[in-house]
Amino acid sequence: MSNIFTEQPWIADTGPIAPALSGTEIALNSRRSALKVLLSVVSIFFLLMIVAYGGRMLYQDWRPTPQINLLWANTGLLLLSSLCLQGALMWAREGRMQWVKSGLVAAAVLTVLFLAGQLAAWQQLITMVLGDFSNPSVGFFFMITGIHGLHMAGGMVALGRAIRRAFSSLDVSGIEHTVANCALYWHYLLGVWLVVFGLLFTGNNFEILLRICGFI
Amino acid sequence: MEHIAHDETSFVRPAEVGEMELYHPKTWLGKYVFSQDAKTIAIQYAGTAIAIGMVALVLSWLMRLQLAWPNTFTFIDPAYYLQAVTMHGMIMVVYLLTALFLGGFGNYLIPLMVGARDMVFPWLNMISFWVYFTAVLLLAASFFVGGGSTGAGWTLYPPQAILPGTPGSKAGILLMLASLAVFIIGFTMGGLNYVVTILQARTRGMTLMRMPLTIWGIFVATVLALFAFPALFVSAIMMALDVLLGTSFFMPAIMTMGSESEHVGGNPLLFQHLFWFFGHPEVYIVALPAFGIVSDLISVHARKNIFGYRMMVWAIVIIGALSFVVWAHHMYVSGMNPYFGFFFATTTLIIAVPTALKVYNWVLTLWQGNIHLTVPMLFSIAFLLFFINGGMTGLFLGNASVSMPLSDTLFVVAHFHMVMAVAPVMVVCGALYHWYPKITGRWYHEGMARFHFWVTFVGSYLVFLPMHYLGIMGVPRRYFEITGTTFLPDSAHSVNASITIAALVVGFAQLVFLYNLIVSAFNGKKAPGNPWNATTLEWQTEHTPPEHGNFGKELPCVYRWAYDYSVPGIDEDFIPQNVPPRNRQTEVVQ
Repeated sequence: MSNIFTEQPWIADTGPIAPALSGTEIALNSRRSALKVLLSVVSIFFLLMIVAYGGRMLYQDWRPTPQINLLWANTGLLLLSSLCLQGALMWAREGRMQWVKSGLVAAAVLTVLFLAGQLAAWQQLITMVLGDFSNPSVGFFFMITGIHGLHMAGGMVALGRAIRRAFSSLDVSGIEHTVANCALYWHYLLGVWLVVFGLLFTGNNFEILLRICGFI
Repeated sequence: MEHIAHDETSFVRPAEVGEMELYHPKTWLGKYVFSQDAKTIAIQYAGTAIAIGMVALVLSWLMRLQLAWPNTFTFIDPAYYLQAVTMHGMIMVVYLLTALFLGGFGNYLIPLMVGARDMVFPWLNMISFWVYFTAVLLLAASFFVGGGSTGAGWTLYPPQAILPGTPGSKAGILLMLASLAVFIIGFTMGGLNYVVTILQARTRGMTLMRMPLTIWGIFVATVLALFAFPALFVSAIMMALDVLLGTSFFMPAIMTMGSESEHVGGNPLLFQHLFWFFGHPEVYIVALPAFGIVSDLISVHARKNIFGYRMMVWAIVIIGALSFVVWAHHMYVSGMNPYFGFFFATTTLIIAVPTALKVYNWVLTLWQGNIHLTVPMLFSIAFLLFFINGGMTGLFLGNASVSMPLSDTLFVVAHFHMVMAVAPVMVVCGALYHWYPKITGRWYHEGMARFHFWVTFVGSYLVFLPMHYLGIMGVPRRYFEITGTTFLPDSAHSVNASITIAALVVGFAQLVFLYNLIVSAFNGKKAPGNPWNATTLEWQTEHTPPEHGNFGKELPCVYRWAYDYSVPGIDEDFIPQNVPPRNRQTEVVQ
């Protein structure tokens, strides 16, 4: 295998070249790679919003968002949906198609409930602030939860396709990669949510972090 | 001297890379409009980018007419002028150069140069273009809405971008923000394709370190764009929310038009940080593909292997990485902790090291090369001259203490036009002439091409070199007029007029360029498959222009790097990447 640090590209091959990937392998690797690249981009996206939030917190007129307890329940729903997808992946590897279907459907239902819960949280916050969005922390709340929700909704398209495939095919091996990709996406967005929720929307955790880092 | 032996059976197994399923269009629309062939998509990207780029060119003429002969052209009022400044900048940077380098050259060259049949996600690729097209339409629509397009400057700084008094502070700015957001969504789709195709779909034997530098430049630039555009996306959403919902991300409590605005507690500096976290890598999103392409152009037309290939690759990677830690050098005058300024001045100067290495390597590649002064080579040399000039003034502006007095003067305008406008455009032109015979199967008109080169080269110098002096005199940028001032001599106004004349002539030369490209595609002389005797895979296709699927029945197998030019002991002065090595017996006999 070539090494980009040691390879001397000006020397031509003198022996057999390693066998190529098959077309199917290329396609599978590509989807997984594309998902990983996409998740890296999403990471930057959320990281920037968190940094912007922290930067704004440093100003003396900072007013935190009112607490919304419903978010804890929503977090539980997202956690469960992620677990269901992990289960579906496990069952796909074991060849238990019926369980795969159940896992996928349960994950989809729980995600829809999560999204509905987030909308309800929005409604609660709008009531709490009496429609005044001028507090930056309120703006950040709507923006960050909204963008996270849009990512979940986008994931639902892929999950929907996985469910359709699961119900139209008896071949478990064909669906394993799709389920694995959905599971990775869900786990990842769960992780993002836990960071965002824990750091920004559960009290003054981020402020504590900024103090530890010496910014406040 | 001997002919190279094509004895692939002795040492190398025949290529057997797995096939990807190709989309085969059944209708005219599927083939030419909603095509999933990366080459067609590349032409669509290039066509759209050049079309909107021509609008930006005309806007620059209008600006120059006003600056040269103030108040002569009554239809240009201050608002109109600011709108022209803004739209010219944004279109050129994002919608022309980024789209052309990555969407145009990226789409055309990546699959061909890495030995793939197409991008790995052709459907997504097609969607990416149409999303980009929608972004361009949204941007163009802002010319026609009430209040016109935004006149906030291409940096779109709040609070003035959305305050009454700034042109296009309602619909104009919203359309700009929406267009940028849509552009970024489209680019992310395309960018995923470029990155994954390069990582996953390279043909057998095409190791990363055998990839032509063009691909390295496009690859790293795409990664930069994928990581930098989210900052612009976030800031576009935040500013749109400030306008639409009355949030206060960027808008402080402020008096506007005699009354208090509805905003409280926003932070305009936050926007600047986010914008420039995108904005500086954007310079390299444009520059790195240009670096890569010009390396290949110089090597091919000087018939010499690129000097320090590995150094060139790592310089691209290091420049890309460093580009994320220099952004605040655009904000020296915004007010910052002096240590902060020192840090960014230091990182800015450090980035000059890998950049200078690249310049040395280009020059050393030319050194004692068999230089063919073809049109692509002329443009490559011109690129070097502009880039060195623009890079040197970058050293001035990277230093906080020197930058501050020069900030917001024409010196800055001259610097960035030299380094990231004219220099990359030289590469665009050189690259279009270089790959034109492959893309169209025909030759461009040599006379018109040389006319285009000389007028563009000399004219661009006449535009931007004097601008440095105007900047040092203190002539500010973005001002509608500078008449009635006492600190400027009359000669400054004469220089302004001469710059405008040069700009108009350079613009005319671009029309000749486009005419040549379009007309020669139908009437030009037939070109052979590999007219430059180049080594890279796109020149080794069975058909010219390459057909859907790029290569014939079998994908090529790569045995060597892309720079085997003038190899001692070989008759031809080039060895294509897919030519197997000589067998050992032959070598022993020799």
